[in-house]
Amino acid sequence: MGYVLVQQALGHLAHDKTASGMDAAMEKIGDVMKTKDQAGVNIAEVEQAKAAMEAGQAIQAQALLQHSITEALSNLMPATGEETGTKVVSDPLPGRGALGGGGWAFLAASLLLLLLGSGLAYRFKPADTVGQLRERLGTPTYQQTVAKPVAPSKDAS
Amino acid sequence: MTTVISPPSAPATQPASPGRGRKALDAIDERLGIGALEYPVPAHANNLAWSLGGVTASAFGILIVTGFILVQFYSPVPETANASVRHIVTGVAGGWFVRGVHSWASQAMYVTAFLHLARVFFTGSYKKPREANWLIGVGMFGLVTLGLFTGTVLKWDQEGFEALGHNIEIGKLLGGAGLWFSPDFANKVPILVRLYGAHVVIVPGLILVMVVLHFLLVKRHKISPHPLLPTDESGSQAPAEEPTEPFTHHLRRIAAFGVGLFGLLGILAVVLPQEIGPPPVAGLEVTKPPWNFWWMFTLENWVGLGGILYGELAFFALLAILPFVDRNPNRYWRKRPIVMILALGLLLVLIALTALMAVTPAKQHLGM
Repeated sequence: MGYVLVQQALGHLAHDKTASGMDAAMEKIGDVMKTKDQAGVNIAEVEQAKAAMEAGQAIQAQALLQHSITEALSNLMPATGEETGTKVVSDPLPGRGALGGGGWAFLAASLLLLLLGSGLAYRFKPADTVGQLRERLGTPTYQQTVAKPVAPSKDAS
Repeated sequence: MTTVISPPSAPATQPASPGRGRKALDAIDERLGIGALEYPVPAHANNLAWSLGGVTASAFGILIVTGFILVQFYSPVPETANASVRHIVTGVAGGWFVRGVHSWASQAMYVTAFLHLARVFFTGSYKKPREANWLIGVGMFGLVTLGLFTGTVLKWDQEGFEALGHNIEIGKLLGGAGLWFSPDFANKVPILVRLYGAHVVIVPGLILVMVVLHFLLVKRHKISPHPLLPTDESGSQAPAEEPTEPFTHHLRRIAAFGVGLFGLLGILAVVLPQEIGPPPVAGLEVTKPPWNFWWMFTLENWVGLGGILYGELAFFALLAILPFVDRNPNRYWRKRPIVMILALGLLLVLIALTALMAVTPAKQHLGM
């Protein structure tokens, strides 16, 4: 379907605006031009987008491509099964904005919790280490076990 | 007249009056019987290595609490799912932080569950009579992986959609057994909605059930003995001579680790926030899955989609059969050379496959 090919071109541009992404998007635009199913796709705008990409204007090309499939998207039924339901192929979004007062407060509170948890874990640490428990229980070390095998008892057959 | 002065009578020794906190605890105990948790456990159980299961449970608790908040704002409908995640980040007060903690907690749960499994393996704690609890643990690790996968899909970005695409194809390889993973199973419903149900109800619900079983079996079989310390006559329990502490002290230390873990996850959420990818487009394959799945995807690059399915089945089958093929009664690692060498080999293979994916660009597999 033509509009999906346009979305694929948009997807390539959203992920990678370098020459590699532009090439992949341009290939998809070529496919749009060749496909018979161009229903709901404004081919004139796709051609403008192609020209914009050739001029290295990825953002303008994205806007034109997105606008070129407005009609196709308006006819879509609600997504079922594994359909994407995607209308607008936007760029990635960072996980947070610039670090403001709230961000610093979260960071400080988290640091305090880390210190508190570490301090409590240290305070509640076991009275004995495994080495100390070995001493208390009179356990020989592995090396001692290997070096001094237990002598067989007299009545062992 | 003689006055006899009797010596002052010694004050009777009276027990110190319990504080308000103790009184409150006693009142609760009288009604709920929480004092039953004060049963003794061997002293070595309070080591960090022996507390990793508890740390995993802490991560699970953090996931549930942050998940409660996220579901208030998440829309599991394909048309709006990606936008709703973006809204959580940009439009909900503190939403980016909660999402970040949730995301990092999922990684923490995966890592600590793996380390817990590794510790149980290393100290031979899966041996008789604890085989069934090992199997429950392996099952829970599988569920943690499934939770990670479904969470990846819920973002409904290109990465999540491609992960879903792989899962659908793998479902086809499974034939009838993979029907649930097929969009045809309920073709009037977006598969995203069904995966959302799995992520917020089925997977955590099953984990909770298995955690309860896990704890009950730990209680029944008791904490496994430390391989560097002596055991009792049965060889499967810590000796009576080993000092003990109440189980509540074990819980107390796990709670402290949990508080520290929450702080660490909060720092990661601020310092390393998780990006949200572009909304998905059908027919594209330009992303890599989360690192937890890289080893399988290297196999996929070599042998196709079957590499993921058969690689994962082989991994979990190896874990599941371990207590039944390793009949060596020793728990100390130096006295179990064969199984230790095999495990080290498997670990190195997994690390190598993961590292290979790190340097390999995303490749097209679906629809080929």
